[in-house]
Amino acid sequence: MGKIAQRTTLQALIADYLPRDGSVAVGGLHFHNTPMALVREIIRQAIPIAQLVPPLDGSINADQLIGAGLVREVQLAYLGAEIYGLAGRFRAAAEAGTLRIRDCEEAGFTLAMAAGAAGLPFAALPHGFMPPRSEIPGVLDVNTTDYQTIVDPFSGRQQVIVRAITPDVALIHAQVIDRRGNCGLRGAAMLDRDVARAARVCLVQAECEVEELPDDCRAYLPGYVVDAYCVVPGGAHPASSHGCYDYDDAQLRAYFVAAQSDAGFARYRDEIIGASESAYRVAVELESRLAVLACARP
Amino acid sequence: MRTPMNYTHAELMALVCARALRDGDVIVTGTRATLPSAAYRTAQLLGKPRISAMIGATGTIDPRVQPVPASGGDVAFIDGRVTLDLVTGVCDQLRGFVDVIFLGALQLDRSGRCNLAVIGDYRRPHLRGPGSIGLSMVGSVKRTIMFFERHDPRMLVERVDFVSGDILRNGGELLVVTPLAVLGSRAGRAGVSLLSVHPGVSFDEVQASTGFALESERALSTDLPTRTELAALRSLPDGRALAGMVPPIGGVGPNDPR
Repeated sequence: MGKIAQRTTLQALIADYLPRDGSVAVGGLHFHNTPMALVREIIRQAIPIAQLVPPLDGSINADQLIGAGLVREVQLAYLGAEIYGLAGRFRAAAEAGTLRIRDCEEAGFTLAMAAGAAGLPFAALPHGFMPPRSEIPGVLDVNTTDYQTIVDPFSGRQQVIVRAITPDVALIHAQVIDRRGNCGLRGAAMLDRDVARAARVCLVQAECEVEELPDDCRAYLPGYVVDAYCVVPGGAHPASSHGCYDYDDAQLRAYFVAAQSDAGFARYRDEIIGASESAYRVAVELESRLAVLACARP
Repeated sequence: MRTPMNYTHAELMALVCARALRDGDVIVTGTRATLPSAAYRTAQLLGKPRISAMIGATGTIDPRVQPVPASGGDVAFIDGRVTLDLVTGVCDQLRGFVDVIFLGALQLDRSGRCNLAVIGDYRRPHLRGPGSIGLSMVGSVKRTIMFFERHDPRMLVERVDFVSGDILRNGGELLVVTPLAVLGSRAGRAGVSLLSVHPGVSFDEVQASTGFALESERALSTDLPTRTELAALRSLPDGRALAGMVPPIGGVGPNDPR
């Protein structure tokens, strides 16, 4: 059944649509096109997440939710800081044993998300793709929640399958949205087409709202997959929003340095994430940062 | 650092990779693409013009931007011939359209298994890495080039702590390029062998920096860069950017197990 996208505020979007102890998938990739305003608002409202599914390449988005102590379990192919090194809060929680991890890899994670988007129960990996179980742990050994081996009824061969990813909620960042919830894209779609559809509920933060999507962007999510949206200019910051602004190297570096310690993260949460998105905008001087980071549209 | 021969480690490493590429190869590389990008563009200049590259997290084929942006998801990549969505990018690798994958890892072992998940016990790791991500793709991409910015016995190990990918299984080929040497698979030999030692480096140095036993008798010397190779490499913004590769925060990154 199609959905009718509701416009609301950032605060109400999280308060009204994000279940406590649900499963939550995050869009974007690394620190690009990722819904940071929604992530910050979850932290402010301290809503616990039973299962977090970061982007295929998870980054500051998942690291902040884990640092805030809101995540019980994470299903990941990659969660790191890319050019900045490792994701400090994820690393600390994983090494302390306080976070359950469902280790995946690129092919299984991607196809499992596509399966979720298509309403399929699982995806199959090519025959012989995964290393077989051995005395050294690998994905097939440590993550039987998501990876199983069955007999292919067509060929009779052993076949690795991956459970479809079907989160309760997807969080998506869009550059433009129209009043029917159609989302416009400038730049790369990453895995967002699939993340948005795999979830039961799709929540969008958009840079701006327009009557009709302009010709200079590609429509990539029809309004019928979007449950609700809010308009947050600069909402991807310090990540990039393709075609609007580049990632904020100084702010990302400041975060990943802060994330190296409990105290550093606590200070970042109090002083930067703050009590509201407008407090965040003041703390990072967002208007002037976005002016510096503004990029030409591809 | 410049050696007495007036080339850098990174330049030699990029040229070793360039020599290993063949005309018509389709390569894929993830983040930290400066060295792979310098390598394939140099190879294109040196008689292998039909190499094609899928670079970074945007799924762009043959991006025009130079030097290659630091972050794999940078919007500047999109100025290419084709930008794939990530499902298609993954499927093109599974389908067998891609010939060569460039990877880094926390660990690589003598059997050709690689690891980007954990160092130490899986349940309570000494170091939790980012996860296996594209290292599994060696299951469908037959030639792997691994590059390490340091040659370290904690990275080149007897046995990995986690199998993110098993490169040599099913006839996969491996080339490992470090600041000291070239290692890799060799026809008729099981596992990872020492293929050549870089000029000015001794076998003993390489052995002391490697966590498993190497055989010395067949180790050759890595060919010095030629004037033509260096000129081609340095004509490229990517080649000149090799000098400016920034170390990760705290010195810990996907190529550093500490």
